[in-house]
Amino acid sequence: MKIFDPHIHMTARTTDDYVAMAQAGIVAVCEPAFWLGQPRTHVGTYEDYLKTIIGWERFRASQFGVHHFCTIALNPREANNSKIAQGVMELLPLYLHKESVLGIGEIGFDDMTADEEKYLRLQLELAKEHSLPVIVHTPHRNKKKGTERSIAIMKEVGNQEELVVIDHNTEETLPIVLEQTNCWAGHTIYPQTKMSRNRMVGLVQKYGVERILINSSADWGVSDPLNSIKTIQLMREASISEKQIETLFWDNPVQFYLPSGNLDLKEIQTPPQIDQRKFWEGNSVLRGQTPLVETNQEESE
Amino acid sequence: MKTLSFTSPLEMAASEKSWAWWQERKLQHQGNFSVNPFLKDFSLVRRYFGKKSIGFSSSQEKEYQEMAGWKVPFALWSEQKIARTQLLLELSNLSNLSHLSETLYQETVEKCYYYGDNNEQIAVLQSLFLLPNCSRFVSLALDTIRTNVMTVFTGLACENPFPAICLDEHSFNNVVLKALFSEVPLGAILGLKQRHNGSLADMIHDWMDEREAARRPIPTDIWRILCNDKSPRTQERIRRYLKGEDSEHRYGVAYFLNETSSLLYQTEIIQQLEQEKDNKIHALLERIVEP
Repeated sequence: MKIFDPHIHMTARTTDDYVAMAQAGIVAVCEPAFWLGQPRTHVGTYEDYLKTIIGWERFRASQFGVHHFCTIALNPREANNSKIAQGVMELLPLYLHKESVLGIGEIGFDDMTADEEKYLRLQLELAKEHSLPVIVHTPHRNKKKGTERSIAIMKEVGNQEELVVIDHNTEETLPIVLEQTNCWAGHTIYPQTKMSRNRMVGLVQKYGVERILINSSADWGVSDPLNSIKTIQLMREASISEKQIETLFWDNPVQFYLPSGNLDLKEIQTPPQIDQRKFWEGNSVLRGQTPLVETNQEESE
Repeated sequence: MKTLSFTSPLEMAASEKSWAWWQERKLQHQGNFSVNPFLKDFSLVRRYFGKKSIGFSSSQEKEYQEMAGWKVPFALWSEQKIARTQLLLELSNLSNLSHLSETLYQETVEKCYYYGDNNEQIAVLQSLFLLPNCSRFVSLALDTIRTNVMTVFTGLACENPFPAICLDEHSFNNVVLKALFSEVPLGAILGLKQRHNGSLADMIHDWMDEREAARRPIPTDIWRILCNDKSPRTQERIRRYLKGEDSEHRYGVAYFLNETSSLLYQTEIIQQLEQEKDNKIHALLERIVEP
């Protein structure tokens, strides 16, 4: 089966991870912009990061047979850094229309500060203006309050709720998202924090698969890019149907990101060509007599 | 070069909605030009034009190649790439008509590249040679030579006359070396023969020395370059590979020697003819000694 991981920070991962993910059936990923483990001190480094997730990382993923997409944003932590926050906000419109950008994210609360709220609101407005999907991160501490506050702000801004995912849910917050909104509810499977695989199986048994997204969010911390796959195994053992699993790990992410206008359904059905140069082989002496590069691009686009 | 425009094929390819967008944004840029809306439209092209090739007939393609002065495979360019090229051509027209200053024109093209995603950067790189006074954009090519994103690099290196037209010897050689290193077909580099130089041959020989020492494979189209060169180092190597064990390399040497009118290796070729078992190579060698 094909898997779309809707939230995973691949820039922090190794090529071995890509190989393992592709082998396990992960065909597409979406990488939300976030922080690097230590705060940036210049807008320029933030811009280069955006360029990386739009450009180099997309190419790197393609070399291992994975379609790479991203969402861009000023992340919650760095919303508190007045030296760069405004500058990043000015950059976003310049990158919002790129081919692999599926929306805005991740935005939201971390420490529940006034600055976080300011930039959450501004970016929800940006998403609304461009009718783009948006990923709302919920805090590790004070999660329930943070989730409720995020939902309240989203309702004030008036975003189309089907275009919003409230992410990193737990048993306490999932019912709030499902009952009080039409948003998607994201779940991040982490080895130690956030949501465990077993608990996730329980949530699906209790709440079903509608509007549920599951991601492994793997980053530079202790995390596992195959958590989605490992959760699927547990789901099978718990007799959750293949149809439901497919809905959770393919149909739902695709449906969530589709309104971006940047998901080509036909294109993501199969992994990208792993080594584009293979088109140039065949006749090793005469290669290049015909304009092979362009043919190659057409095939891979 | 005659003024080149892709407007009519784009109109043919566009849906009604796409064409309405195209016309509307053209009027906007003509009326009141500013950089950011142009950059946005440069990106938004992908919403209105497809990834499939524009589908020129061979006579149409030839017509465009004649206007461009280079055999660039326009028929394989995607609708999106043609549309982006046309946007840049129109930008240069706006500059000619003084709707925007030369400086702003140059800055806008550079920003299309700077802010561009991979496909946008490729479109800029492949359009550059069609823009007036294109050598002002050399810095973009120099940036591309350093990229690790091979699709963008080949956008510059392959089927694109810009390196041959605008790059100095050192940078042009770097394009060729990087192509060789990355297994990009050398035959796709335009102007390779015209831009041949002794330093390039030297660099190739150093690289081959390294590969031979490491017993790593060497692409057999490397003879496309060396057969244009007459240095002692090249002659030694051609003689060695002509009678070498690797039949693919023997074929490569024979194939590209046959494309030159060099008489340097007649003795060796006659000797090799006596022992060459491969029919294809034999035939090529015969053609060289008895044209």
